[in-house]
This record gives sequence, structure tokens and C-alpha cells, in this order.
Amino acid sequence: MKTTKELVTLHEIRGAIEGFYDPQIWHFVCINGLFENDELEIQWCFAKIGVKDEWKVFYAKAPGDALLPSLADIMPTARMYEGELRDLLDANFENSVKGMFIELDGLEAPLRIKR
Amino acid sequence: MLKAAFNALKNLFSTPATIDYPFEKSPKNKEARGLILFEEPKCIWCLKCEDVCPPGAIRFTQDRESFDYTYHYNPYLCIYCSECVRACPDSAVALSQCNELSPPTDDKNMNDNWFKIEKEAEESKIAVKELKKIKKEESS
Amino acid sequence: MKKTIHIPIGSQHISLLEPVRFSFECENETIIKVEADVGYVHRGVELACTTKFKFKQVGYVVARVCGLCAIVHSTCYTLGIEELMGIEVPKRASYLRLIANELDRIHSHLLCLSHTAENAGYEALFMRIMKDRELVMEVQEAMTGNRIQFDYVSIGGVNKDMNSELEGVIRNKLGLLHQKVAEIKELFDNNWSLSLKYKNVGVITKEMAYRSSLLGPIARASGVNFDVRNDSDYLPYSELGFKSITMEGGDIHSRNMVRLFELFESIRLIETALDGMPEGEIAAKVRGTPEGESYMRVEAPRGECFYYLKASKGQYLDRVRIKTPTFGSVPGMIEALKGSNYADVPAIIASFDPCLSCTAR
Ligand code: SF4
Ligand code: SF4
Repeated sequence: MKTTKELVTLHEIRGAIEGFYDPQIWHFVCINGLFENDELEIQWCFAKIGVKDEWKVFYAKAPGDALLPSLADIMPTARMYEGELRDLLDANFENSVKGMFIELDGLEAPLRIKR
Repeated sequence: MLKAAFNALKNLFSTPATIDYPFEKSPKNKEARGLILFEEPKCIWCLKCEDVCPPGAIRFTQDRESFDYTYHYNPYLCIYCSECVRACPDSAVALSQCNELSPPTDDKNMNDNWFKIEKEAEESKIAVKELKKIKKEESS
Repeated sequence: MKKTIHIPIGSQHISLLEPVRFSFECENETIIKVEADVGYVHRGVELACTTKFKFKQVGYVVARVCGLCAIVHSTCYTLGIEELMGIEVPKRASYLRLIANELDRIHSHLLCLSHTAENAGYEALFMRIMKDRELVMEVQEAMTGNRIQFDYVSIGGVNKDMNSELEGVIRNKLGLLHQKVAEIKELFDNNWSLSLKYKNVGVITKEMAYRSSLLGPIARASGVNFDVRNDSDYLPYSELGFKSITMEGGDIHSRNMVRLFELFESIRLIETALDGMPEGEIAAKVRGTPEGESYMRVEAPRGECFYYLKASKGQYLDRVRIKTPTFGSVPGMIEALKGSNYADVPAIIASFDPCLSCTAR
């Protein structure tokens, strides 16, 4: 497995992915979110089509309540993952609304809970 | 198209593919997985099976005086994964799997009472640990 | 006066297997706007995997994410955790895993085909496919011990070995199934009333498929050659000469055809795997605890299933991220529904083979 991880800042992410993403070569897999040491880590994962196990991951770190850029205009599926992370991790993506998975009066950001 | 019509006609006169379930037993493969059987005399009380069981269907409670373990098994929690059978050490092999599924029961240890067993399993082990500690201190 | 009509479908609806809600804005019969809500069966699996269960038990928990592709989830998780722990899986176990995965694909595709037939109003075909599906269910029961929730894959290998008697049963039943699928394919191909419901309905073009990163049979029906079985080396697909199947049409008919051809391919893969089954152990010794990050994909019947695992040498994992195929194809589904007739909606939705329990997990 070949995974390349690239750290970008929240301002750069849009330009970086716009320059990099060609849907015919790279398949957009998903947006992944982690919450560690009071910091959000958002990963945009891509896998190369037709090549064995080659991954490209852009990741950015942000404080827990930062406003994150939405990439739904480049990759329409991103809207789904942004909504999901908004619900489960309380990652505040632009234009995302709560309520896709958890009711509005439900648990706040369950995935921030640690053992 | 013609073939399909022919098939439909044929199906009109053939026997049904389903079975008369409550009156007839549903066919079961001899390899099918089912309930876990426990042979107490062989058990060496290593508690490995309790540790690996994903849904916590095997629980041991410990007696506060004699320190003996009691085996509890909840057939309705069990997912028949047989992880416990593989975990049981070769020197014991106290667990085995049969291909029967859980029958309806009026066992009073099921449902809400199972929560009590779960609680007791945790608490009794901690209590026994403390008791042992006290005993050790007394004897030394 | 308002020119459009608002029609909701779901969350409970006769043509839906699982709870999902679409709301359509229609102009006469044509749909112009779609909204989808998928989160009715959220169960918090990701949280449970990191807080309630130890890493050895999580494989059985994630298998409960979905009933139809249970083995895919446990395989994907197990491959990921094996990578983190540096376990070398015996060859035989890999082959057995592959066979179980392909059997799962067969039964899931048959279910989907029967469901599309039913939603197009052809119930006799639905009954017939379900009856033939019983063959593969029996094979699964004989091989893994369970019909649906196999719990077949465990960390380090598989739980049950294969013997020659079982091999005979599998070959026999799959041979029968091959014949039956050929008959069903003829029906899907030539039946006039089915073609009215399927051909040029719910079209997704190649550009659309690329743009909304579609996956699985839906992408392949639109001419995108994207199959994780080609793109990953964790199960021995390339050794068995796997060939992915693509069609150009992009309509419901092509999706059905892709599934039907994949059935033949799966049957062939299983037979080749049985021919070249290596001898040896079926499980490796498991020691130590996982550490690091792993990105793992497996091709589920509906597309790509993705797991992200993060661990730091503890009994409990730090993060489990599950991406299921249907979740990624919802935007594509919305695109396909736009501009089609309201009467075609059930067939289009069924042709995407949506699995909502997966999606919301
Ligand atoms: S078979 Fe699985 S679920 Fe049942 S008692 Fe054993 S370990 Fe637990
Ligand atoms: S693993 Fe076997 S020997 Fe150990 S406690 Fe369980 S049944 Fe007894």
C-alpha cells in the first residue's frame, strides 16, 4: 500500500484539491474526521483508479469550532460526508446543516467522546 | 417470452418451493452453527471465553465466600460466532457448539434478570479481589 | 398559482425495503427537484467500535452494520487490522475469504435483481429469482455455518475449513445456479414489457458518473471501469484473472445486465479458486496490539466499502471510520431521478440497490 499524506492549511485546501483532482484518474473516496487533543483533523481521501492500492490523503488541522471550507462544488458527494461529520463530529463545514443522522435534540458530537 | 409463459404454466402444476413451516421443521445443515454447550468438570476457570465473547453472552459470577465461579450463558445474546470455543485452551476444551438454535424458554435468568447477572459478574470479581487482599494481609 | 406538485415518498413506502425519504418537486409527471434524507436507522456503530468493544470483537460488531454485505464489512475491517498488526495471512485463508465474499455478492445481486423486477411490476420473476437464490443461501450455510450473518472472517484467518465434500456441494449448486441465471438473463434481455420499464430510464452518463464519484455496478453500467477488485491486492483477485464488467448504456437495463454478468464472473471466480485452492493453515497466530493508521477498501456488492482505522497500541481503537457504498451513491441517485417520470421512481431507486442500514449505520 502506498499512501501519501500531505498537510495543508484550511486556506490552501481548496486550491490544492482543485489543482489535483481529476475524476478520471482519482476516485474521491471520502472525507474523514478525527478529534484528538482538542483539535480536529479533517482528511480528504483519494484513491487512484486502475492502480493497486495507491492513496492520496490531504489533511488539515483546525480548532474544534473552526469554520471549514466546503468542497461540494468540486465533488458533489462531499456534501454527504460534510453533513455526516457535522452531525457526528460537530465539524462546522460551510453550508452544512445538522440533522442528517441525529435528531436536533440528540447527542452533541458523539464522536468527540473518548473512553 | 414463450419460454416464460411455458414456465409459468409448468409452475402452476408443480409443488410449492416453500415448506409448511410451523408444521414441518425447516431443513438444517449439519454444519450450521448453534448454541454453545458447556461441560463444567473440564473447565479450568481461565475466563478467556468471557473476555473474547463480543456480545457478552458468557458471564461468570464469583461466590464471595468459596470464591467458586458460576457459568452463565444467555442463548438469546449469543451470535453463534464460536469465538469462545476457539479461545478455550487446549488443556480444557470445555466448550463446544451444536447446531440447535435457542428454543423459547421461561428461564428466569433471561431478560431483565440478565442485567443483574452482568452487574453481579463485575461486582463479585472486584469484591473477591478485595477479600483476597485482606486475607493476604491478615496472614502475613 | 403554484405550478409544481410536491410528492414525498417514504420514509415508509410499499416500494422501499428500508426507511429513506425522498421528496420530489414535480411538474406534471416530470421530476425537477429531489431531496433525500437517509439517516433513519442511525445506530452509532462508529462510536460503539471505539468505546464499547475491544479490537478483537469489533470485527463482529461491524458485521452487523449491514445484513446483506456482512462479510464485506468484517473482511475489510480485518484486513485493516491485520495491516496494523503486521499479520501475514495464510494463502488458504485468503482464498476462502474470497470465496465467501463472492458468494455474498451472488446472493446480494440476486436479491437486487428480484427487487427491480418486483418494482417494475413483474412479481412472478421476483418469486422465481428468490427461489433460485435459495441455492446460494444453502451453499453459504454449508460453508460458513450461517445463512446471512456469516461471522466467517476472524483476525488472522477464517473460522472454518473447507473439505472435499463441501467443495462438491458448492460446485454442484453453483453449476445449477449458472443455468438458472442464464435463463433469468434471457428474460431480462428479451422481455418486452420489462424493456419498457428499463431501457433509457434513469440514465446516468459517463460524465455524470465521474463527476459524482459513483461506484460499484452503477458506475460500471455507465462505462466507468472502476472496481476495487482491480485496484486492491489484499484478496487474490488478480491471481484468479478477474475481469471487471462494464456497459455503456447507463440506464436501469445496463445496471441489471452488469449485475447479471457479474454473477457469471463470480461463479467463475469461485470455481477457479476451488481449483487452485492452496493447502495449509487457515489461521495465523495473533499476537500484539495494532498501531498506526490504515486505509482499506473492499468491493462490496454495491460498490466500494472503505474503512479507516487508527490505533495506538491499546485494546480499544482510536477511530473507526466506515464509508459504505450507498452513502456515496446518493448524489448520483438524485441526479438520475431528476428529469425522469414519477412513475419510474420505484424502479430507479431499486436499480441503485440502496442499503440504508449500511448508509446510516
Ligand atoms: S459463540 Fe460467540 S457470542 Fe456465543 S457465547 Fe461464544 S463467543 Fe459469545
Ligand atoms: S475458556 Fe474454557 S476453560 Fe476457560 S473459563 Fe471458558 S470454558 Fe472454562
